[in-house]
Amino acid sequence: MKDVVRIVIAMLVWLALFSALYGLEGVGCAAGWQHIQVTGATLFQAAMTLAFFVALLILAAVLVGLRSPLFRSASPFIAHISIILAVAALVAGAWTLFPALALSHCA
Amino acid sequence: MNALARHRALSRIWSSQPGWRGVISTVNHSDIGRMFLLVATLFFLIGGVLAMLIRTQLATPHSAFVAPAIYDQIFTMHGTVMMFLFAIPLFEGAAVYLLPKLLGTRDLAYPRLSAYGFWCYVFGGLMLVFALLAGLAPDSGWFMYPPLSSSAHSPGVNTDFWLIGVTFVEVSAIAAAVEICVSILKFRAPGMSLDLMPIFAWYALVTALMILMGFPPLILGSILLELERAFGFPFFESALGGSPLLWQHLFWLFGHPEVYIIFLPAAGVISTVLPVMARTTLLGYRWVVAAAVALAFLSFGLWVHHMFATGIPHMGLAFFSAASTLVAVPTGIQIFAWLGTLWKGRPRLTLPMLYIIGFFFTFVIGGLTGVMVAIVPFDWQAHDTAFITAHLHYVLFGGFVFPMLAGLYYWLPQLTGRKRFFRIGEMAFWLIFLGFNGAFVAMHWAGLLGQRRRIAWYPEDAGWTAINLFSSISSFVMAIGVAMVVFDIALHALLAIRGSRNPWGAGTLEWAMPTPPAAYNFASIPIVGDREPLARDPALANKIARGEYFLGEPRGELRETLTVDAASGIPEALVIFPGNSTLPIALAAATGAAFLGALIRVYWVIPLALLFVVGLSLRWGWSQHAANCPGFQNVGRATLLPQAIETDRSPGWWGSVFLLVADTVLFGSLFFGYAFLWTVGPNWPPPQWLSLSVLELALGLIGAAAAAIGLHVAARAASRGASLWRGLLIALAGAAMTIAALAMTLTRAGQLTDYAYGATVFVMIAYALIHAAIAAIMICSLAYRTLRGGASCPRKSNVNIVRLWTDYAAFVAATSLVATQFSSYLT
Amino acid sequence: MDPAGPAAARIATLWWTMLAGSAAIFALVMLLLLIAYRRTPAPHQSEHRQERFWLYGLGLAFPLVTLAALLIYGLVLGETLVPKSRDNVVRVRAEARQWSWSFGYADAAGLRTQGVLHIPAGGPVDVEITSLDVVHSFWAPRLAGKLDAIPGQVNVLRIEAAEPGEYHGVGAEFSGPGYSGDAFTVIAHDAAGWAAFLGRATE
Ligand code: HEM
Ligand SMILES: [Cu+2]
Ligand SMILES: [Cu+2]
Repeated sequence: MKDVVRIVIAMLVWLALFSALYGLEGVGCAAGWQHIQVTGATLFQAAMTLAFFVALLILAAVLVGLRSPLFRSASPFIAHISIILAVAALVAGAWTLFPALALSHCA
Repeated sequence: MNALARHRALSRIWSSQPGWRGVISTVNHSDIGRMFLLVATLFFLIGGVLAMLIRTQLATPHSAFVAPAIYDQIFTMHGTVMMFLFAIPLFEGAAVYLLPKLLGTRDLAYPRLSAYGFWCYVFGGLMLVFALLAGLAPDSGWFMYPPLSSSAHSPGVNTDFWLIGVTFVEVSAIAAAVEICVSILKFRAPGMSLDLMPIFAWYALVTALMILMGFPPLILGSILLELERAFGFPFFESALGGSPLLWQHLFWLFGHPEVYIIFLPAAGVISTVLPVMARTTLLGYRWVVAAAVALAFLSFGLWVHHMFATGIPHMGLAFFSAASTLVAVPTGIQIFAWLGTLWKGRPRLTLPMLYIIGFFFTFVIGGLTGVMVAIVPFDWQAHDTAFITAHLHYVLFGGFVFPMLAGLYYWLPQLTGRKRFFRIGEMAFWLIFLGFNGAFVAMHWAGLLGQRRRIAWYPEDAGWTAINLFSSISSFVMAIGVAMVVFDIALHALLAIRGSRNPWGAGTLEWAMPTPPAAYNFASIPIVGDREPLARDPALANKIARGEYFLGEPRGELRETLTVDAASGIPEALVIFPGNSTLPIALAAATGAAFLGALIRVYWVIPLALLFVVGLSLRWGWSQHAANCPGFQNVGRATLLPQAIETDRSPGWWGSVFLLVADTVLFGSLFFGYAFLWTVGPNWPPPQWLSLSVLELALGLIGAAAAAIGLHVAARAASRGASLWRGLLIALAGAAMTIAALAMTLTRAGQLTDYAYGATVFVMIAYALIHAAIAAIMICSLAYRTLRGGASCPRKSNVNIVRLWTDYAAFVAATSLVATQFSSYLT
Repeated sequence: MDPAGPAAARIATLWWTMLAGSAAIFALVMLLLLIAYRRTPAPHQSEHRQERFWLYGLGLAFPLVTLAALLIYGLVLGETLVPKSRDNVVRVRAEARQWSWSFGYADAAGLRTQGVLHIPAGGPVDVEITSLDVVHSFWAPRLAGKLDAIPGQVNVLRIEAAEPGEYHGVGAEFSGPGYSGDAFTVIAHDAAGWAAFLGRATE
């Protein structure tokens, strides 16, 4: 069972973060954050940018965790797959969430 | 005991009853698998006939073949039948039939559950067929968007048939998915660690997990829409605080993963068949497994690409556009792994391979058009045109039907024990291949010229007449090809001569048995040390038949197999399966009666039917433990193992875990709906919030905690062999408190038809209440068995199962109470 | 695919680019498949080297690079198409119902037209789209992509006709038995015609 968790955890975390950022975008627009200014940017921009980097940090932490002897699987096969998937999740995080940095808000 | 005597003894133990009694009482996976495959094929033919009617209608402009009202039913039912009654059940059938044979075991984890799932599927399918024949079929398109599907715009019973029939069929899919997950993780040949599993098992495992995560959102959506239609709860009614977009989110949260649920098993077939046809092994096994897992998860982050034109902000669309392009990467890895495999080996051009080449040709096109529509601006033009219809058929037909036909011809000798004799299959392939491409290449073009999907007629001057006629003629060519395949298989089953065992020279275990396979699969359960055990040891089949491995000596009348440690494949326990039983069909009928009651709106039937469901379920659960606990037993090769139900984590515990995964997703979707309406629902806030009641909150939270603690105490007592009573009483008191608190909240949810908020609160609390009731029933049942003293033996595992469900109920009760009671403070 | 406005034109360019790229990729895959049957396999290539070529190279690197380029192209294009600033933009309103379209004009309060939308040619127009019953979709294929008409919600689509003329439009989300015939017309006027049209309202 633990090995199954090792395999699915990284992509599951990606999915959770992806949904969270999409949700945050919805909440931000509904609450009108794009009209609130904080030090040069809108609150909306600030929140999304922060969320983006936090998300990447979490995914990187999962990767480090799965490589560390503490959580690494005893089976080389599972260890290898779980690490491939953790890298995939990190790449997926950057790839799918980068619009948070750049794109127009709420339109 | 020699091989023949062993065969006779095992056959007697495992056989189902003769004649029609056998059909309704069999629980054997080979029987159920074949029945699944047969019924799914029948539905494919029904869906195909509907497709021909569509193409007849569209062949000419201003067609008067059928009126729009009928045409709408035809295309809606075509999509519904193909997606829910053909593709998913065909996968289930293939998995049910093949998995134990591939994994080297004698049956699936819960034989009676497979039968139950099958009968739910048949009964649900019959409801939809009845609707079709009676002219009452659903007619709002296979994704049933409200408000078109709401009672104001679809007053008839048509939509109810869809909501209720499809949900019933999905119950069967969930049952099959739980079965498949546990079987793959626990029911394998000794020594088969995860990295030695046949690749098809990996794909089936991933697919089953996806079903558990993907189907609950639609089940929830269907329940909500049916509540809206039947009782006027305004979940999707924007004037009353609901949102039509909520349905679209819930539907596509299911709908996109659905496409990959259909594709992944087909990819599993290719990964199995293609290397054999290339006389080599799969290139990059680890990468293919990782790609399948990545694909599964990525596909849950794509659903909004079906909603690019609904006015969601561009940043939101961009997330999903990016994810939709990324999903092409794991797909690409698999495609190139297969091509690399062909380069690595010496490919033959057999009939299965021909279909795989057909797959490459069509699926790559479908994938490329898929990337195109993932690009937002292009989708704004292509969305809801014939371009999409063409794309989706390239993916579904190319990515599912072609590989499944390859699989059919590959495993046909295993299924029948015969040799293919007539050469109709090759000709049929060319008709299907050319017909398919002709029909759907044309539709891309029509779509780009502006032809919308789902139109019943078009004017002459639109300029699509020739394209549509060509498409229709091609699709009839394809239909002739499909008919020839059916004819070919029928001839094969009736006339062909006996073939040799393992005609393709494959290396996996399903070929290490006599064909057609015996009901028990393996006379003794082999030890596996290689991904292709049969290739390494060609004498394996004989050794198995001679009983050289585990459980080679049949004992009494028991159907026995082994479970293993999920990761390493080390044998863990002995399993004794239940025998033939009509309990599954009876339970499916009772479940069906509840659904039918909802459909014809005779609501008193539902509690009555549910009473039967509970009664039959309890009987089902108890009959499992009729055997006493003999402790460790000899399973052959000087190995002593305990019985599975005596271990801490029995198969029932594992099944509960996976069922609760699906349940958690359902609850999560409900929570999502609540938050969604709150943040983006038009016309908020509601006229009235649920006010905070400290009494309800305290009672509910303390009760939930007490129930969980009670079972914790009981579990500790069970492992010490002490009395369970103290723990059970605490738990029961806790459950009663929780139920009381939830019931009080439920009555305060307000006027449910006035506003979506109150209706949503009601559904959340009702969900928690149902789970609290389930937990209470389980605790009572455990207490009753303790009272009778019968529970003395498999006690630990039973307590653990009840504990799992109680903990979940406590979690749900606490979460939904907190989420609703504080409503008025959250804004 | 016969664009008559900037939005539709840019999407058409996107399509031709993607078609060319896809054709090349498709040809590559078919070629690899064909060669697999024609060649004599090289003896004893190490499995690891094959994995490197097929999986890291063709499976990973190749799609990642192509898709990144395409995705960025699509997003940049999307940004130019979403209506941002509302200055100097003519605003009209489209209301869908089963099965007809009715249009209103911000520059001429009280003016309504049935089944025909009038716009000025040569400049951006924002269409505020909503529905009175079920979900519909506003689509004038030669002018722009489509956008849904959803009850209880107003969506804004930017369209632009380069030249005066008549353009065909349809409801493009399935909406029940009358769906096939659910169409409207967009008439783009030159400056004088547009003024005359608005003037008619004030008469
Ligand atoms: C046997 C060959 C098939 C033919 C000739 C065919 C033909 C068609 C046509 C012409 C339509 C479009 C109707 C329209 O929107 O104007 C359609 C819709 C559809 N087809 Fe098929 N089809 C076939 C097989 C399949 C298969 C195997 C699947 C799925 C596994 C499938 C799934 C669908 C779905 C989901 C729709 C959309 C229905 C809707 O719009 O509500 N089809 N089919
Ligand atoms: Cu999709
Ligand atoms: Cu649409």
